[in-house]
Amino acid sequence: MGRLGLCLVLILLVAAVFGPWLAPFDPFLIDVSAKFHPPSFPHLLGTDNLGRDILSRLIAGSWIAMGVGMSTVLVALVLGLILGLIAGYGPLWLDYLLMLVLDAIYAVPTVVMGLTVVTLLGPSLTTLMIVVIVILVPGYARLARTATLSMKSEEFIVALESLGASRARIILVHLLPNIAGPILIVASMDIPTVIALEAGLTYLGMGVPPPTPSWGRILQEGFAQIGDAPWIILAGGLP
Amino acid sequence: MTLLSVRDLTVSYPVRGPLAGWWTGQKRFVDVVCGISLDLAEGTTLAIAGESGSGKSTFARALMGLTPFRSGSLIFDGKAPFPARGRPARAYLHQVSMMFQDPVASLSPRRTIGALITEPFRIHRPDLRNLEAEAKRLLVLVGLPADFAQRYPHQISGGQARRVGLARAVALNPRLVIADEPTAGLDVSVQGEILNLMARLQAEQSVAFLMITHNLAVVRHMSDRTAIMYMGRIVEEGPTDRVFASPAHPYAAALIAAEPSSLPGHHRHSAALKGEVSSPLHRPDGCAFHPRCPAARPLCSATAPLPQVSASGALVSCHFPLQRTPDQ
Repeated sequence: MGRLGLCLVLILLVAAVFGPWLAPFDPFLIDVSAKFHPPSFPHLLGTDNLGRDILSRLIAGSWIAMGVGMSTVLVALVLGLILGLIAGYGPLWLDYLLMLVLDAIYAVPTVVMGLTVVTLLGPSLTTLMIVVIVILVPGYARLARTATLSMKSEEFIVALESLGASRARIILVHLLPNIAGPILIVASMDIPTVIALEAGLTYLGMGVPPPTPSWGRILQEGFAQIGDAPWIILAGGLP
Repeated sequence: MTLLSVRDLTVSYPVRGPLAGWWTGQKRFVDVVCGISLDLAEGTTLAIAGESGSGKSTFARALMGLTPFRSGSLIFDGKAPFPARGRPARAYLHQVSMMFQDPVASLSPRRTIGALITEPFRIHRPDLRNLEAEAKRLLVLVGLPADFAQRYPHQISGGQARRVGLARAVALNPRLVIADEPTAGLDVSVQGEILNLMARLQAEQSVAFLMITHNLAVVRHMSDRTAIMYMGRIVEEGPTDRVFASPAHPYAAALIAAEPSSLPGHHRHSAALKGEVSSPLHRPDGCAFHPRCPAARPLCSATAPLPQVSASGALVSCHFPLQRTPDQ
């Protein structure tokens, strides 16, 4: 199972990094004469309503999926860790304030949050990433805060306080390495969730605007032609 | 010369959560340490002994500013290092350090020993560049091999961790080290090594030790003066040999008599104390020890005794101090 997973991840990574060289066609190339080709040679996964090669668009989409997935999780992780550490180790009023704000964000459903932000900022890749970060941060902050709270009365933290160490030093040098482990694992498992979320939001028209090839957009466009060209939505659901 | 002078230090914890008493506007407090006064001379050792829960460790934490004290004053080297609120002055933490009870748990688990013992330099002496040399010097000072600098706390034994704790405590050449149970959890031979090391450091650097322990053999061996605590108060304080030879407070006498004798077949006459330590929530009126005291009289439950000089020259807080040793 582990090896199978590794192979799948490697395929995706290779597709994302070497996409421009691997793709048989230009993912933006519109060839109306070749529209609605069923899967065959040379269009292995067929073409869509504008005659664009779906395999090429999938490969190009993997770059967005990976990029959005990893970078947003990374940013959210850093923000969440910092906020959680401050809430857990800082003054009590700050803890209450931060948790109030973060729990309020947590309480808003993902799609509603996405709709709101997209309405405010307009659909774009940046907006999508902001939405995903805002959704992820409260969870990481909560995890970091809980770990910090359970650690802050440990004797080694008290010993550091007795040495006169500053709060910033205790947080960055001594608390961070001790609480980061479990949160890193959770974050790495969130990357696929984020990719699905990106596809989902894009499918709902709140994510990456056309003509950018994204997995969610391929699904959305394929849905319109599900009766005439079912291979589009099938291929879009492949990754 | 007096290095540390503590007057009427009281540490209280509020009862229940922060909202307790918000309706009535009254907060209830438990006095864990109530009104401790003592003096510590430069380069000497004062031991504070007493049973678990007598407030020894809380007192030590209060001295380091880890637990705020509700009232009282502390003068260190002629200055008052504690502001009205918040943590003590940095200069004070530069000159006073603490050894913690659990040697392994007091070391940050993801840092190497070398990084841990040079931590005081990183905090107080950012100008120092050659920390590796300092780490080596400190490791040699406490009798550990220099390559320990690369190890992690979980790779060393309790006795070695205790040495690391001592190295970190004396890193900045402090004038006072507060040692909370420096021999707890160590076997007897390692206890001896640690105590000898502390004695040597005291002789070389004239550092003063304030030692918290319930091991009376350690007290007798190490300290110049001894203070016996009961329920947050010092009941007897004086030169160690005199306190041990003729304890004047009935509690001090019972505590010392309860110590196992090293002579085979020799049993001290000991009147085991009856009853339990009273709850600090319901501190007895008068002398806190009177419900368990074999010599209690009506006065003891009415008024709290003030410290007075006993026949042996110790300060004792008792209305009716013992005149003889329990051995006689």
